[in-house]
Amino acid sequence: MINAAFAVLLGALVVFGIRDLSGKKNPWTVIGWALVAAAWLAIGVFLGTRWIKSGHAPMSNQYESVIFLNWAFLGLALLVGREFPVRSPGLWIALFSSLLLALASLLDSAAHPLVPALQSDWLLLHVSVTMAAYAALAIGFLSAIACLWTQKIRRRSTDKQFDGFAYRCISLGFVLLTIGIILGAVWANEAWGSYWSWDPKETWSLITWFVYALALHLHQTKGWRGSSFAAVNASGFLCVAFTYFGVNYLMSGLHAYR
Amino acid sequence: MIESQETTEQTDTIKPAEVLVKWAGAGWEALTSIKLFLVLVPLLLIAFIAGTIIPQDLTGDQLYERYGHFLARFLEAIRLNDVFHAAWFNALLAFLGLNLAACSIRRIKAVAARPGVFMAHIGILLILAGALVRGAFGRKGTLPMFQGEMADKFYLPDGRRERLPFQVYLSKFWLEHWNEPSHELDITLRSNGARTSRKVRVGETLALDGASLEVASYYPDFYLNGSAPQNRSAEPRNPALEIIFKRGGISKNLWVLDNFQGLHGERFEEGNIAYSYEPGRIRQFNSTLDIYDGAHRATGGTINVNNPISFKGYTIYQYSYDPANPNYSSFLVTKDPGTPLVYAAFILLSAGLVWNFRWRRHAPLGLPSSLSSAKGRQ
Ligand code: HEM
Repeated sequence: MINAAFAVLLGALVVFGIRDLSGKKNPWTVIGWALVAAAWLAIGVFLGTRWIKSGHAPMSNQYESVIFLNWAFLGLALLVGREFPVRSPGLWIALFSSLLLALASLLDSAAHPLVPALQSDWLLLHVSVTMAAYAALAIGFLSAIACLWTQKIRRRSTDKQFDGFAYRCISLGFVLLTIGIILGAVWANEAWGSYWSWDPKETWSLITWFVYALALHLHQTKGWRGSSFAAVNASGFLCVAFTYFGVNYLMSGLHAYR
Repeated sequence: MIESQETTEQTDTIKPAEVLVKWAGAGWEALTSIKLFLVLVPLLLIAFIAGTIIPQDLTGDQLYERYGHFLARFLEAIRLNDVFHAAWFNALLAFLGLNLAACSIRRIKAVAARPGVFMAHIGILLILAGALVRGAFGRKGTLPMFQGEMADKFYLPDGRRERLPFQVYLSKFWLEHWNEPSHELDITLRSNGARTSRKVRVGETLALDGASLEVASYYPDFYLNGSAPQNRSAEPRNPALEIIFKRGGISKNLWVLDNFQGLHGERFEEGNIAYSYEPGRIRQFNSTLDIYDGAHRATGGTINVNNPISFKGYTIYQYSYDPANPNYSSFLVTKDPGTPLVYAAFILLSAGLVWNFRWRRHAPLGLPSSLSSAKGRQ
């Protein structure tokens, strides 16, 4: 199923590429988004069957959570991707999603029985909300990259829509990230005896959270727009990536579930 | 002359108060400013990053070994080896709290326009307050116990013992596994030099290169009493298999041990056999506790990872066990009177953020806010 989703996404990438090069909107845009929707469905079926087979939410290791993240990302993109103010937003979406799936293929995909600490309904709540946050922040990141690309490489100005879209994505991401971290804290208090232990994963999630809090305040109170806002936004997402991957491989701690 | 005298008189009497007011005003101005927030956050970020890349659990000697004399002394001096308990770090958090409180007071008129933002800010303030309560009144320690033991004290991290306002009785401890333990044999026969790895069951007979190997019996806790093999207990402390090897008319009884075998397993005339015992993946570890308040049993039940038990402000968590001693179970004991406050703050913060969030909202709302100075930085 994942291979099928990957193939469909590559198809979408080609279709959106044709749309971008030809400059013709129809029928390529519709076909492209239909393919994205198909990939989203395929990943959903994969997650659903894995859930039924294993008897627990498919979020218990890095592989499963990356796939879930991809599913949330595509789902959100289907909802709001059209507003992404570039010529063919689908191209960015399909590219990011297929890169993420390619990355997932490098991870251990075996399903293992759950260790005691993960046997909890909080697993579903904490991971799904956090991944949904990452999905929103990822779309915000794409628009930051698009903005930096337009301003710094192509030396063109970007309009208000860019900031508006990026700001909305990271506002949504920030709400979800806050709730995701809180759910994690409540779970930690049930399982480990403390809602906060300054474990590296926790600390890096807080770093990420503060960077986005900074971004929101700079946007709202200091009027940061354009490339300076995009730079904070992009740094926030680098923190997401480090919290999500870097910490697992470079630092040890309670969260070492890989 | 008269004029200047007047002014000196005035300054002599009024200046100190004026200065005080001016200073207080400036201090208040600084405390309420978003600028302070924009300074505090980068400082906090540096502290967080330091706290994750510098190991935080090294003792003095380990620190010196790893970083050398000079660097280790530097790290110790500014507590970079224990960032999250350092005074300067807590001062930064305290300033963040003051900043939030002052900013919320100053923007109190904006509550009606942006209630969600106000709730979120107060939520964070209360989380910090809850952490303060934990720092002042919180307790955390361990309680190691054996089955059938009663305890009324636990160990603090520094090794001191502290009394609990109740007694805990561990009536039962047990492990659950996802899968049964399994036995694996790795056999090399001299007759053909081939190596075979197999999962085996007790009672099973393997046929290999004209020989037969019967897995005759399993002793979880094997020992030799003189020359007689015996079992000490049912716990897999020293797992062993008895193998009956037959070729032609010859039959030989072999004992293979998981623990104390040579690198290549058990050697005999026909080859060698290595045995490994796979204990099975742990599913859960459980303890049944009874909690006594004086002479009567106040509460109790079975706890496991993710299901602690609480009584009189203390919470007892299943913490650890000893694979070699099935009677031993260890618990984490915590007390944190700040938790309800922190949980209330969690709800306030989440609710505030959800309330404040609108997908369709492009520009910041016009607010009676002296803080929102849109400079339009590009
Ligand atoms: C960890 C600390 C903080 C967090 C998580 C936080 C969170 C937020 C959030 C989520 C918003 C709404 C932004 C939006 O609507 O996009 C906001 C707005 C704001 N915050 Fe904070 N805040 C924090 C600290 C502070 C501090 C210390 C101050 C004051 C110095 C402050 C002043 C403001 C102001 C002035 C706004 C603008 C509200 C508006 O758009 O009208 N915040 N904050």
